[in-house]
Amino acid sequence: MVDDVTVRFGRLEALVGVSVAIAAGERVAVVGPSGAGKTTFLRLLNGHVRPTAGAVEVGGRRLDSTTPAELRELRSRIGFVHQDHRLVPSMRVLKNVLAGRLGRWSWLGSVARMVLPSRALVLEAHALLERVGIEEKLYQRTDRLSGGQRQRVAVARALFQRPAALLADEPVASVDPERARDTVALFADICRERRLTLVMSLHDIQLAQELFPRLIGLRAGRVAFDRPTEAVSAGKLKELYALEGAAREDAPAEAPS
Amino acid sequence: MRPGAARLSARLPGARAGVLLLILLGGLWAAAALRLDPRELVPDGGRMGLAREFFGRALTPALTYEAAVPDGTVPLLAKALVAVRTTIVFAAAAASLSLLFGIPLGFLASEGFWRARPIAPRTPGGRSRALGMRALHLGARIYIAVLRSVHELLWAVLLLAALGFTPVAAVVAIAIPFAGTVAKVFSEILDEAPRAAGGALRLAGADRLQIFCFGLLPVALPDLAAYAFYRFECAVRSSAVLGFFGFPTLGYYLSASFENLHYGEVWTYLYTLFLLVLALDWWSGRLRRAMIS
Repeated sequence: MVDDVTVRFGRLEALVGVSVAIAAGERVAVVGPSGAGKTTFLRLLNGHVRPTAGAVEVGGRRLDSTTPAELRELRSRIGFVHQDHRLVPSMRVLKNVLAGRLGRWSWLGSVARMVLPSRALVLEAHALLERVGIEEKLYQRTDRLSGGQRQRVAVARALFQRPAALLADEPVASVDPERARDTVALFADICRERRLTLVMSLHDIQLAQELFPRLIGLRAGRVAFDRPTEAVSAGKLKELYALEGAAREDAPAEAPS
Repeated sequence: MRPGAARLSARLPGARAGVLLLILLGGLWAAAALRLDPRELVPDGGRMGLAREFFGRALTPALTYEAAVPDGTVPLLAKALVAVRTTIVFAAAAASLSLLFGIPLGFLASEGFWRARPIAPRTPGGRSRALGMRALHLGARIYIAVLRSVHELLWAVLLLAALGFTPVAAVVAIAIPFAGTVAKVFSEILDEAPRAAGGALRLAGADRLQIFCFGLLPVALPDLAAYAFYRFECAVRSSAVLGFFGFPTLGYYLSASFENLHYGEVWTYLYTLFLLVLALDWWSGRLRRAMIS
């Protein structure tokens, strides 16, 4: 739940007075022109960005009063998929997937499991890769994979966290258009069958309408609309992008946390 | 870029050209202070004959000894190979020792190892811990500077005096400054490696040490390995030079032949060293390609 949140980076106002409540298991697409604050909004939800004013509550816990250990624990239950996947290129796919659960392991335990993963862990990683359709790549080096395949590995890594929620920041921005629909549909299907909360920022409004039951429109850091997809009128959407020429610059890529 | 740096370069548009000019002027001043004279590059009188004789043998290195040797002496080329082996053995010992100490030091000196994102640094315990980390980081960097400030030849002189003529002295002499260089370059490689993968692990709840081990180290590993191999190559050169102190590496035979005015043999050893470095370069290139693709 995001309550009357404002986020400023210096003089730049990334979000202004944003209030949104998302229930467990919901699938929500955040749409809007670039620079509207979509990325900042997602980063609020895992404590990567802290509100300048207002409050964020995730899983019944206020994010502004967490200790580092609590924040780590919370983050280990929220999968985050970046636009640029952010895998380790020189590691095998299996190791990249295993790395998703580091937040649950002690340091020594993680070294042992990363070097010599148990059969159960390997099977679990294999099952997730099977779900995203690239199980044959389990022992491939990650840098040998295509962009779309790497994005699927990133999804498998996030799922390997055994998360309660999945956050995805423009996950198909670097995937070619035909594959984009399949990838977003994969996210939506997985989250439906596993009852995971899904919050995804999307540039492609048609994909959002087709695959998400609820849309949040952001413009210039403010909520333009927040309603079930069938209740979002074409006029509203047009309005959302009408001022695109006047859209402000993107929020800083590496925000302080 | 820090805002201050941006402002400075905006205010002084010719700053970069000015710095280049200063460096150039410094070089001219140094040349004048040393009274460098290009004419001295041409040897005079008797030296000219010597130089001609020496460089004249460049195309005809010796294949057998240039003077009579006692029966049973190993042939020249076999001796060169034995010297190569000894050179490599010294270099391997020194390079391993320098990696053994240099790698952990490099970790301690890198930003990435310490890069914590303390969410609540204002707790009293958190504060003194952060201070302790900073002290260790700074300590490691100072220690590295100390290790690097004395050249291996100088260490060899000191250690030979202290320990006597023993291989340990030669190996440690090379390993001390090399450990410092390994540590410095490793810390730089780690700090320049892309951080995106580590950032993703942080968002998945990994702690600092896990991010370092699984998000940063594997990203930097190909470069680290290539540099470790380059250090071995440097150790080969240094171990060859330590032959001038009497250790039976290439430099020993080279200087002996030189003193006896057997220039053909000198060239034989020089070409051997050249081929050795070339072979190492080829090998390390293969290793690197195997690691990246």
